[in-house]
Amino acid sequence: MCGLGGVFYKTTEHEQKTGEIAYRILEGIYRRGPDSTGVALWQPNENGLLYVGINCEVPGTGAAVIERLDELGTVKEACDGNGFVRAAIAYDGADEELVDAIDALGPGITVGHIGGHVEVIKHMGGVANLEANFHLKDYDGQVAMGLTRFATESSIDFTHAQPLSARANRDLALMHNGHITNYHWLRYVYEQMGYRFATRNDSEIIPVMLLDEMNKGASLEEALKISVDKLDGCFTYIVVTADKVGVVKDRYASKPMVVGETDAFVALASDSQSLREGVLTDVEVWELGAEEVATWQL
Amino acid sequence: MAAVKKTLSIDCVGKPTREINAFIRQAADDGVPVVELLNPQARHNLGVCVLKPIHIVIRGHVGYYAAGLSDHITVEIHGSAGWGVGDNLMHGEVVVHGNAATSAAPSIRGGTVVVKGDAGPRSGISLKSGLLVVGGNSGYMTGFMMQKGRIVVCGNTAKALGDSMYQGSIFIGGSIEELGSGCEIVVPEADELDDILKTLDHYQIKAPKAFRKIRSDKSLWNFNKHDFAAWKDVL
Repeated sequence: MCGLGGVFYKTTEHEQKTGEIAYRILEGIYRRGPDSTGVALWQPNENGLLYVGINCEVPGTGAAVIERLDELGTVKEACDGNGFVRAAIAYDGADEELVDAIDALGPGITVGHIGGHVEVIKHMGGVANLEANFHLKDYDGQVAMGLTRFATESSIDFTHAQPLSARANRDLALMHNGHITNYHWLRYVYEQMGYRFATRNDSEIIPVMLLDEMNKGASLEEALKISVDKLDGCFTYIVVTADKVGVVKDRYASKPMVVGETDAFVALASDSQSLREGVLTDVEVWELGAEEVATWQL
Repeated sequence: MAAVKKTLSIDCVGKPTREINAFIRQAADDGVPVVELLNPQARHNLGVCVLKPIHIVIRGHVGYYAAGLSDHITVEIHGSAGWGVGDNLMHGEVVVHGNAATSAAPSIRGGTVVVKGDAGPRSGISLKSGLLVVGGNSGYMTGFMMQKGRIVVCGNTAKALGDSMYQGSIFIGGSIEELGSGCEIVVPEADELDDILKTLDHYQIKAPKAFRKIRSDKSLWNFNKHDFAAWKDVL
């Protein structure tokens, strides 16, 4: 099933804390996906750091991961969230080399996401664990979009928790509610083209597809529209990039997504109750239609 | 016999949905004519399985399956509704003053569901009888697999309108993005139009200039192995 939701503030000045709104929305849609919860946050990042999110499936490996990060670059901030490491590092090498070096540390250790503006945090269970480990409510930037996962195909662990991204590519966080039925075929095609996959989660095909289309020259909006044709199955997904937030619904409109927009913010959620409880106002909402694609510029 | 109160109000804040629905059913049992729900906060499953006549006024937005599985009730929703409003209604009336999300009036067997604003995808899916009126636009696959009854959409409809409908009729005032499989556009009868205009007038919905009628062309009623290409397209 999975629940999707979050908020995008159009300006840096805003009335409520972004993290608190996202917390309430994700708490509201918890029953749609109790397995794990993850959020993509947008960071202004004036110091040119690299945000790295690393899955550490083996307990107690977080410290070694942070140590290795400090060898590869300089760790400015790091938090061992007991299964997932969140870090901001000064790093000027190649992204692929960093990801390869971390992935080589041992079984169960993989880079989940890297970004210059987009940071991913995720944890098992509900959003309370995100708060306990990463203080989600303290976040007050412009974007906090998340997913509560109800796993149907792949493992329930940090690696397969969402948001997902295309391996070793910056600023592309994807949250998908649904099931991609031509995943195996598409994965074969993209692997032949040289793309590497980090998980067995069918949702990972979406960021890879978007990246491939954008590498071929498409804008984000165009890539989102192409994905509606190329993906088979049912999907509603949210994508957060360095400068945009996008949302897409499949041609059967099989998964819910309501949108509430004011002059100040755009709020998204799988149901209107969670959305309104999140933003604490009785905002007008509309449901995204079949094949509909919407994007907002940061 | 003790005097029956005319209107009972219940504030939904902090109360479990089960308690609110039990309150409505008890009021119906007691012969209370009107129940008013305050602060519904888009909660799911409000007014579900109420089987005795009562008028329910909901002051705000409702979530999924509002007034579902009910019989002989009349409901005013002063806000928007989530998925499946009026699900499987037997008799009665549900009026949504705002918009409705996916699958408005699914499988209703009788009564009337009115959405004054826009309705989402699959409105009137598997309609088995009764009437669905949409004042604004209606989404993808409106009237999908409907078996009987009538759908009236004053605005525009998205793709696959009336796809695989068996019987019944759909009336569209605006544009049709794409017709679904196994249906055709015909000219409405004068008495049908008359009836529709009276209904719209009753609900104070502005009628469009004209209506087109969609019905099954019966091409999918029986499988024909010699016409396999048509079936491949449908499936």
